[in-house]
Amino acid sequence: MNIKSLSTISRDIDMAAILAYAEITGDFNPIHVDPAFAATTAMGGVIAHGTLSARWRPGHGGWRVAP
Amino acid sequence: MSGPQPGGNPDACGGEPPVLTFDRFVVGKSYGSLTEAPDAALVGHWRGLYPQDEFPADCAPPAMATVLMMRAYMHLLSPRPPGNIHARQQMTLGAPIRLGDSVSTEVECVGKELRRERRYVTVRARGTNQHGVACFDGVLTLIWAA
Repeated sequence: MNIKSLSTISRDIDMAAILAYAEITGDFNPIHVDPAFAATTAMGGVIAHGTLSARWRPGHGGWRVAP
Repeated sequence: MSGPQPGGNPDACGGEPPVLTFDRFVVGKSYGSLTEAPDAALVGHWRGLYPQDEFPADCAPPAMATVLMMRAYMHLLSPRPPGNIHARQQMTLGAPIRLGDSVSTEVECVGKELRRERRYVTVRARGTNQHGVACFDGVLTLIWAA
């Protein structure tokens, strides 16, 4: 197996980022945006959207561009 | 936008469709497609979230594939029970999405499984541009709340 080392990207996730991502995707699942509801779930509180961290590297950034 | 009403299973009398519970998912069923044209405003919202992102000026950022996948998922698989959680996700990128492209995202249920008292639903979202060229192919596995 060819394992490639990738660079690390970090970002602090706060409620503002979660709400901004909810606006972009339309995903207002209460487990992301409603602290009272989220507290009643197995997560115990608000969690970020699973795809919030989905980003790719700069440049063409992951698109497959024809040579 | 094209395809069936959100949820793909509207009430026969034209009322609100029933909540799309785990039991209602049909493996192999297409839940329709959502067609959208990512524009500068949507990219602007993305830049607000990730201002350091770099990508060609005439293109949407690659992560826009995930955004379009989620928007189609939200629109087509509705109404959902509250509290679903993403367990896994996979995304394969294809042709770049350019600003003004018309991207149709088809959402299909490709699996469901009850495991350790958790309801796992797997959906596939495939996006193609106005030329029929594949832009992305995403697979989401969710823990369905009800």
